[in-house]
Amino acid sequence: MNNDSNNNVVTDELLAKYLAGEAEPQEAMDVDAWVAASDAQQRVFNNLFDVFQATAAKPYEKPDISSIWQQVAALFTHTPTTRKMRRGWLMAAAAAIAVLVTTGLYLQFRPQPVALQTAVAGAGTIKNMQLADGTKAVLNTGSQLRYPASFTADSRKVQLTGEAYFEVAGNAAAPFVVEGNGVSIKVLGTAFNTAANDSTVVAEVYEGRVMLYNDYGKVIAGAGQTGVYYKLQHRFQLLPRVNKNSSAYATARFYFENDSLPTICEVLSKACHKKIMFREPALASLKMSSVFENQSLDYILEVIAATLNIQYTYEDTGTVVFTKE
Amino acid sequence: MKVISDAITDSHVLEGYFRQYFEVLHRYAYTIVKDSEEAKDVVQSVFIQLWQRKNDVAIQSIRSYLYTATHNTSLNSLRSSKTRQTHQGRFVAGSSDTGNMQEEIDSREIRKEILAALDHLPDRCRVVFYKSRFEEKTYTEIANELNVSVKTVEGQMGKALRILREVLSYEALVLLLIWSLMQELIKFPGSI
Repeated sequence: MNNDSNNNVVTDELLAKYLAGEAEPQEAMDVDAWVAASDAQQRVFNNLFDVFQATAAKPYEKPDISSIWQQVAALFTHTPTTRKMRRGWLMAAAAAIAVLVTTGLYLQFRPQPVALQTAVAGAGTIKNMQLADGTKAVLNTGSQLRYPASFTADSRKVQLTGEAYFEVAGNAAAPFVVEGNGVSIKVLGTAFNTAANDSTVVAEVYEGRVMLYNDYGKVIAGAGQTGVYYKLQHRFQLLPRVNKNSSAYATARFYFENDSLPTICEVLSKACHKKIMFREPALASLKMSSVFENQSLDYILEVIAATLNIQYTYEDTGTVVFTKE
Repeated sequence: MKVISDAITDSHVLEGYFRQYFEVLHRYAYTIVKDSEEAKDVVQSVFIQLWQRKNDVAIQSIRSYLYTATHNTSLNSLRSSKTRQTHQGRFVAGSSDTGNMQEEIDSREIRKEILAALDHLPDRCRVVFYKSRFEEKTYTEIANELNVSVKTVEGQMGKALRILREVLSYEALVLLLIWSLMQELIKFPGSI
């Protein structure tokens, strides 16, 4: 990287042009080269970028390149290399069958390299799925599940990025394993919710038992418990509780037990992918208990408003706002 | 300088370009379409097109090709999808699309800082900045509305950026940092 040639090119006008979405391709290339040229310039740019994006209608979200690549990679695999490999594998399989026939030995087939299918829950949506073994999976928004179209007799493995709720069909002979985020979750017949971020993987168990494990260790969580894996420390932990509302996006069941309005707003916002809020500080101390099963959001809002003696309105943006009577 | 038809021989080469350029192209597309998700679709389609055309185009610089394609695809996407609305009211009221109380509170602090900083802009400069940021108008649209040249708009935006950079206190930048950290942290479920 030639620092000197880049230092002079980028003026405040050019930076503003770039941040305002007015830069021509060559100008954008100049800005990016300038940003990459030194840490100091990177910091200057990042600060300005943050200011501009704080004044934007929709926040900037840094793309997760690896997961995006996984989603599109299937489109790019029609190459001579893979075709050759596939033929090679077929020949090996033919040879294996020949050996099997001539020797008469019982050999268990190695699991076939199964082609995985990908399901994605796009922004603001959840995805309901039923896997080939009858397992129910609900992907929360922005999550991705890779799974085989059919499972082999002795193993059921899926790969998850993000958050999902599972109700696993019982089959003791073939454990159900969720892989991803540096840890595997083996399911011993159960309903549970799992979510991951950069530093932790969490499995909240509602029924049955699950085991989180990898080369560093394991933890077994039963009903009403939460297994946590800390990715950076490679540490496992068992918590003696679950948040029943973590899976509300999947089950449409809400449990509020003397919960405050901020908590209720947060739970509903997350589960319904809708902004539900209040602006008057006085409302923050209101509390209520209630259970909702399979009710419409309007019904739930109605009950909350009536219970707490407040009102709610939809704003033009779709945001729900609670206000005093 | 490479010729594309030589360069992209298989998907591994393409993956290399993808990993090298996706983030900067996505940021560039975001500045134009002003929506992260839409920007992602734009850059994905740029790479899909590049892959489909790998045998029938010969291009001198892959980098120029990718930036140009991102620019054009962004503008097309903008034309077809855009329903622009003024969001200054929402900015001032402090409502965002996040659905998290803590983040809401933190981002409101930053907005307050920025709003205060905007008061330091000279009138003409502020009008241009508001039209660009809160009404999502292009430089050409702003120039036409204010009956000035596009160069003048460019100059005013550059000036706004310079003043904001100086006025926004160290404190505001720290808040911004905390805010971005919070955005990472809130992905962790609230229960734990």
